[in-house]
Amino acid sequence: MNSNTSLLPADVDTTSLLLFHAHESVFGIDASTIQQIHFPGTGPPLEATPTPFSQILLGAGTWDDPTGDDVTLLEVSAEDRHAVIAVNGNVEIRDLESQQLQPLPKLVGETASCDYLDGLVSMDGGLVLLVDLQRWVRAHGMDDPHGSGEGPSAHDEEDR
Amino acid sequence: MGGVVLSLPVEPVEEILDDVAITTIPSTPPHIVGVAHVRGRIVTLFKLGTILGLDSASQPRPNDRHSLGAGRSIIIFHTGMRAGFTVDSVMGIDAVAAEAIVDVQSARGTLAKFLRGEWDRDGRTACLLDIDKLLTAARTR
Repeated sequence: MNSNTSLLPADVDTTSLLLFHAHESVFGIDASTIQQIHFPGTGPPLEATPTPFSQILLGAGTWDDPTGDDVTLLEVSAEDRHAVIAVNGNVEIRDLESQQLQPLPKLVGETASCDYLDGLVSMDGGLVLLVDLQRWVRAHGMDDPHGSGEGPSAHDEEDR
Repeated sequence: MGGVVLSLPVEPVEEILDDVAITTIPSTPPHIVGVAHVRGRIVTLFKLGTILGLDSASQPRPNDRHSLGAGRSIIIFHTGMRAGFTVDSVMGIDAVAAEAIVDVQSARGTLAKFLRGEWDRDGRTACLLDIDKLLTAARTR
């Protein structure tokens, strides 16, 4: 998987989204920005401390944190930074056509405090909230190269 | 809403929706219920009661928001802006003579700031909302 910096490159018509539920909404992440997916109970043990997805959306607060075995871990890299994000276990990968992508409504964009929401996708009669995880990783990820399994976690990095 | 009869000019009202599917947006203020897909457009839905000070905005946000999904939403388009407001119920459409609308006398507090006037509806006071003030508050709260 590559490490595109924009959620939907202008020269492609489709992209794959990883979808999961959180807080009664469906969120989507550009699958090409994910280096590795560890499904519940299948991935190798990780030494890095995963960051709950809720922390990305809400800062320090806890909100619908995935816990226990029902967790999918996403390894995401951006430039020279890396992070492991924990999301709810039931994930799905779907193809997205570019015309399905819509920006956040202006009225929401003016008031939302989450910088990592990138837009909306109309899918199956509902709306999917797109999240740019790479933007978060660039700001909060750990410096160690992908795969080392050593060094500070994303939590440690933020606590400094 | 909250025991108060409210009214809007009918011109900016595009439609009234029942049980619209609402997608909540994290990290938004309590007066934003979420967004909905309405006829190909994504519309932001606001909780009218919270803007007008007619209910408590301090309830837990997730439950509070989703309980509103079962209500009615009034979709308006005004001065180039499309927005929806969730309400308890919609009573109907009344023809009101301009001279029947008088200065606000009954409302106090936050609600009074959003009114253009009031009128008598079958012996009960109906408050006429100022859409410009409503939209300004929705986008700047």
